[in-house]
Amino acid sequence: MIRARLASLLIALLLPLSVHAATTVAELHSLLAKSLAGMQQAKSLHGDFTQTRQLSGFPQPLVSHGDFLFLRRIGIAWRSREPIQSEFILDGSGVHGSGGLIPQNANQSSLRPIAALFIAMFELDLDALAERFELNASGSVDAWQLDLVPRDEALKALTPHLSLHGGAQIERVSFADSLGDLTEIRFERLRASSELPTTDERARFAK
Amino acid sequence: MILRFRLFVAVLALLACGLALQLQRGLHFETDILALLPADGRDPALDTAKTVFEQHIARRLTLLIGAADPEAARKAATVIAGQLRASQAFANVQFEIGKDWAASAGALLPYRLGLLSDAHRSDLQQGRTDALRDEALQALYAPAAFGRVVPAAQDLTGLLSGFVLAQSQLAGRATLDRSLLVVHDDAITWVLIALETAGSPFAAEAQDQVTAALDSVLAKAPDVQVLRSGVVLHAADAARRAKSEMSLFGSLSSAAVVLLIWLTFRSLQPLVLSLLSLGVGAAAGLLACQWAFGSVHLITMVFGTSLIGVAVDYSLHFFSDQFRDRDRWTGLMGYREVGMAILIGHLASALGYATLLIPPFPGLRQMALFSIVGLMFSCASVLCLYPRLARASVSKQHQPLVLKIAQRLSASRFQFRASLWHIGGALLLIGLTATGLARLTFRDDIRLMQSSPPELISEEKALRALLGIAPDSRYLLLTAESAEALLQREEALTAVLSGLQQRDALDGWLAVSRLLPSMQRQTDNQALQRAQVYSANGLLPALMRQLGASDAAIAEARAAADAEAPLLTPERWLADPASAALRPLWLGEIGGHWASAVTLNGLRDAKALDQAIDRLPGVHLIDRIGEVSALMSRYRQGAVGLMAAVSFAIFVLLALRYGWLGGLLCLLPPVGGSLIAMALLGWAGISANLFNVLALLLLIGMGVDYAVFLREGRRTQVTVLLAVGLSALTTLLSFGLLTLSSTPFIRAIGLTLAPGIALIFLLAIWLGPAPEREEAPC
Repeated sequence: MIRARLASLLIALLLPLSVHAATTVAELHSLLAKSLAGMQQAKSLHGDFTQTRQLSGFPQPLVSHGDFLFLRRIGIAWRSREPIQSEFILDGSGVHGSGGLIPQNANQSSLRPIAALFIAMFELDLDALAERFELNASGSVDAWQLDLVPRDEALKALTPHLSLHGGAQIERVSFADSLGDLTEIRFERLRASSELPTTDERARFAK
Repeated sequence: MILRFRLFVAVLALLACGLALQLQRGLHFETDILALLPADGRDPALDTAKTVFEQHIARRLTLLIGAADPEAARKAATVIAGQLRASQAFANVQFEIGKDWAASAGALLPYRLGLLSDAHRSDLQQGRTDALRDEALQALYAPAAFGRVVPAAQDLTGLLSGFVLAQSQLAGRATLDRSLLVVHDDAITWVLIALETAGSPFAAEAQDQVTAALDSVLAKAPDVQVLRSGVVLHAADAARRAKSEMSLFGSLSSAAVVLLIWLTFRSLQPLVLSLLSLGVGAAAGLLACQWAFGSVHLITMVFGTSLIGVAVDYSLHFFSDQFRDRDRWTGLMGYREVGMAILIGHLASALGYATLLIPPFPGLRQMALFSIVGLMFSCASVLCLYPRLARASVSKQHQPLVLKIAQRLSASRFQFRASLWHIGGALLLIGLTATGLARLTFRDDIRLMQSSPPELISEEKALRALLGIAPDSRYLLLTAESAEALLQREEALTAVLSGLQQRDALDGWLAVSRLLPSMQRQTDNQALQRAQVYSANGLLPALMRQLGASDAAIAEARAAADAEAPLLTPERWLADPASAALRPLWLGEIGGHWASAVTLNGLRDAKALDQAIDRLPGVHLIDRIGEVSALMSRYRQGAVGLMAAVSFAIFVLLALRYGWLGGLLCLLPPVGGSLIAMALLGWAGISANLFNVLALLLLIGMGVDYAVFLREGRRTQVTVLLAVGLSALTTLLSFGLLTLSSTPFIRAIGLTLAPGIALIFLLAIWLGPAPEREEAPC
């Protein structure tokens, strides 16, 4: 069954660009079934990351290590440990954090769209993503790639292209931003939990 | 008499020519409520700056397009903005504001050495470069360019991004979401569209264009919610209401007058001549206002409709005289009998209206001029044309109902005499009047004088709450000798405002100098950056070393600061599309001075602000509402004295003809009626203001007519009673209609005049002379 679908997917990918067809959400669901099952049911997700930022006009990439905590319906705590220490909280109201060009005072919600984008990536809600992105999947169940191209100009201004890679779990995210910077994030030691978050975990999001 | 007739016909011919000429050039109607209010007049340059700024603000129109689904809201707003842009009704449609910002951030790169946010500036001044370096590193290592607006290579330290970011906090709660300004409430995402009308919001054409464009575009977008705020909406609504009131009051008054004349005289001639006299008066009044003021305010026209009921009095009085002797009556006889009374009555009314010329309110002056000229021409046409044209025209059989009432009234011996009932009644009336007056309160707030439909006001409130702004009607105007001096004064001011903000006296403000620092400030910033950022041990080398940059790269980056750095001048700033939002604040050169405005948001402690800016040169707090309200209060208090003076003047005039006691008896009805009318307001719990008091002046001027007519016509009591009764009825009707006006100050005038006229009429009969019995009328 899955093989048959994959075959049709590959055929679709081989077709000339003029008859380019976006993968249907149903096909994506079956392709990503394994990873989705774990992630969609998880109440929380945490793990380590290695982030490589290639800033435009900058010769050497900036590599950093840290950990993150994703709580469904709450947000993401993104903590960098090496080479510098920082923590950003991304939630429904925007991005919060000390320094680092985060607008202080009144207007923190100006970063709401980018926070929403990050959260959507972690939730992997394909129906929601498909509304705003053209989704294209390729690869196999063990090594899939999901490409996201924004449907509207406004979202394109935020990120022209995003891609997710994974197998049984999501492994790697890469995206470009409006300033031409490229970011690649590799996830390690991902642990999904269907337990409700602990008070300590919640406390990290309290402002 | 014939000479006078011919002369007046010549005047009428001239009037007709003048009217034709004016109609060809077009009549100009004004709808700006502020045009009715006085200008300050102390400083012409400041007045001009005020006008320029207020006119600009008045052109703004803000729309919020909302839908539960954010993407639907964005799409609908995009379509609406595009259609509004295509409609030609707007000079400017600001929608994809973020695109301008992104372009602007790039355009600011050459000037980045001179541009620092307040926070970064103070960090650098205090040498906190380590903190700034850590902040920059955190931003570079963040998973995305959260707040950065230019590529990292061009602004490694993030100082320029910090400057631009500080500006993005100017827009209240609205945030930039993918180039659109957006606010969210619990369930709905709202997208902002900022518009600027193509023409003056007070011009009828611009109002029509804007309402037509909005109506057609919004009708096509039924799935979204829309909130609107803008002066043009209020102005269009006020103009629409004034026009409908004008035609309603005008036609009702005219219809009533026609009906009354027909019922009383059953003859065409009085009708035709009365309407002629009214037409002449209205045309003359309109022309006088057009010539004296250049335009006539619609509110003046609403008030002007009441003239119908006043001006028709002269005709009614004249024609009523024929009931005295229906067989032999001629126009000349009527002139000899009532001509003098009509003239005296007219002079007293004109005197009443003339008092409206005293306060410096252009609106009142227009009304006064319109009324005086209109009444003068109506009166003149009665006195000059009627003696020659009028004939006895009422059939002998016709016994009008009003005449019967007048006969009944005359025979009833309603007149005051020293009986228990009359004295007791008088005392009770005096007592009730005194207590009513004691209860009377005054509120001189110009805001109560403006009216807008509640839907518009609640829409505006909702919009402001969503945007988190509480724009104050007060604002600051700055003047200086040069653009640079002006910016420096603004910076001195904003430092003070920051202090107030920290003390919670103020939520925020908008000022050009935030986006355009003075050249002095930019030069200082450049020196600061060269010393703290680009020096050998400065922020930039430290940051680059941390990132592992080579010495050569560091040297190259540092060299960028060695070259002469250009300054962001006002000209360059104004040319940048991103300055659009704040451009109206920059008033430029006005009368040899440079001027700018600073608007205030959420001002809670006006006194603290007043004290704080007191020491700053060239900073003026403009409080139009406060100014005008204070002026209203001052003139209201003055008007009470004026009322005494006018009463005395009329008393002297009357005493010359009727003796001291007669004069006093003539004056008592209008003064007494006015006081009772005010007492009624006190009893009704309606607070009074300048306009009620001015209406009293009018009331005394007009009300004295009745007493004069009754006294003059002592020999022919019934016909005079008929005339006075008819004129009181028409006047009451005209002023009564004013109480229905949606313009509060017209309503205030009507609320005083209508009961006042009725009271004066009754008092005039009560206190008037008893008829001389020997001459049996009719």
